[in-house]
Amino acid sequence: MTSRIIVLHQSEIVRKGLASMISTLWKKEIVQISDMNQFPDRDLCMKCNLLVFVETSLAEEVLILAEDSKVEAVLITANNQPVTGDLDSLRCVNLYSDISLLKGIVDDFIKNEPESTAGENDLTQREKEILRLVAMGYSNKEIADSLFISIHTVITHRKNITGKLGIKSISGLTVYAIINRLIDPGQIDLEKFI
Amino acid sequence: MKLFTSEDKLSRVVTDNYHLLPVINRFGIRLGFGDATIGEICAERDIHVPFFLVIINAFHHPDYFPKSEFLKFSPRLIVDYLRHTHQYYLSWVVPKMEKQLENLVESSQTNTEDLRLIILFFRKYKSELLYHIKDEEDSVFPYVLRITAAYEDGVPLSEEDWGKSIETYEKEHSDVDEKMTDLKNLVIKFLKADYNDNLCNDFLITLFRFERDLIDHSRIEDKILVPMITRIENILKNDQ
Ligand SMILES: [Fe+2]
Ligand SMILES: [Fe+2]
Repeated sequence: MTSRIIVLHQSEIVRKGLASMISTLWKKEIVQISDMNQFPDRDLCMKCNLLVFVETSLAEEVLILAEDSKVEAVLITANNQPVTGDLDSLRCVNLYSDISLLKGIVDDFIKNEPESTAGENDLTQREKEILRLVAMGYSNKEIADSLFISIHTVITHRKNITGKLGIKSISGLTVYAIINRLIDPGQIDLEKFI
Repeated sequence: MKLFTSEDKLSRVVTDNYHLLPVINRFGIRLGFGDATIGEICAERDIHVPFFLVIINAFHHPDYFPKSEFLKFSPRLIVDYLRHTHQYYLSWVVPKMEKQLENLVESSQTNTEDLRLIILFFRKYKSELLYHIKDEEDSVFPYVLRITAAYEDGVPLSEEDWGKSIETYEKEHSDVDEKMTDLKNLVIKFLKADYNDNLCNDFLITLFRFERDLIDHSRIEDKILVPMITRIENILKNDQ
């Protein structure tokens, strides 16, 4: 299943600006469109993982098209613009907010990407997530609890990670995670974990 | 598989497999032995010839490991060889690897952060290895020698030693081995090659040779020393 990010806004400045910010976080396709006519049809919505940044006035239409599919809408709002009704539950990026908010949204999307997009020896998003927690010193039980999965599943993931990387020890995995920028060395006490 | 015999010249052993150089040193043999045979050199230095042959042959052919031959020797010979091996690791190989890693870091232009992590990881590995060796030197080997003295010379065992067993004593090698493999994979597969290649190759070659030496070493501890002492413990306990 492919994953795609769409920026839907009438203003070219907003489209291009947002797309260029997203491109530092997301290495795959970013589609920029100005109206609903260019929006993927319902069939495609069902097949793809879509993250749509959409201006408030077009959001209702996106939600209708997106019903029951894997489309997630994020509102593009301007200052002082009230959000009402169904749109209340959606996440927003404000034209004046900084990139960290955007980063959080894109990171979540990347995290939930289906695993089949990874190559044979690349770690899947789920495995990276687990590796990150292992490297930060969490126990299998803590990892299972925080990701709402069973300990057994955590152990299976860890076996797969070790199989793919050829690294078994926790401190070895920590080094790998830092070298590959999965965690920031500032997040952990190096002396303790390595 | 052609095994070395006491009639072979020692110089041939060395030219056949230079990895055996430090192994020969562990018996107190140094170079400059001309055309003398293994038998002659061992006789001169009072080295147990069959033991010397089994050690070099097992090291030379990874598939050759004559357990029953090994088990015939006195544990004293084995401990003596293992101690010399430890000495070689502590005084030479481990400091050398650390120095080589430090040189590697210095040669890096932009990636010193990652390389420093590798050094940190190496030091963690080193401290575990040294702890393991110290435990053997301070506790396991003295116990082995006391058990041997009780068995071979009838020296009475202390109350405390009666309660011990080598199987619980000698710690597993898996943790230390695991870190060595991790270190290798981190450098070979994942570290960005922003360093002097020759320095990195030097480091890896030392690491590979050390790995091979350690496999041989741990194998003697696990497959020979432990069963040998277990057998003696059982004999002593039955006689009690
Ligand atoms: Fe040892
Ligand atoms: Fe050992």
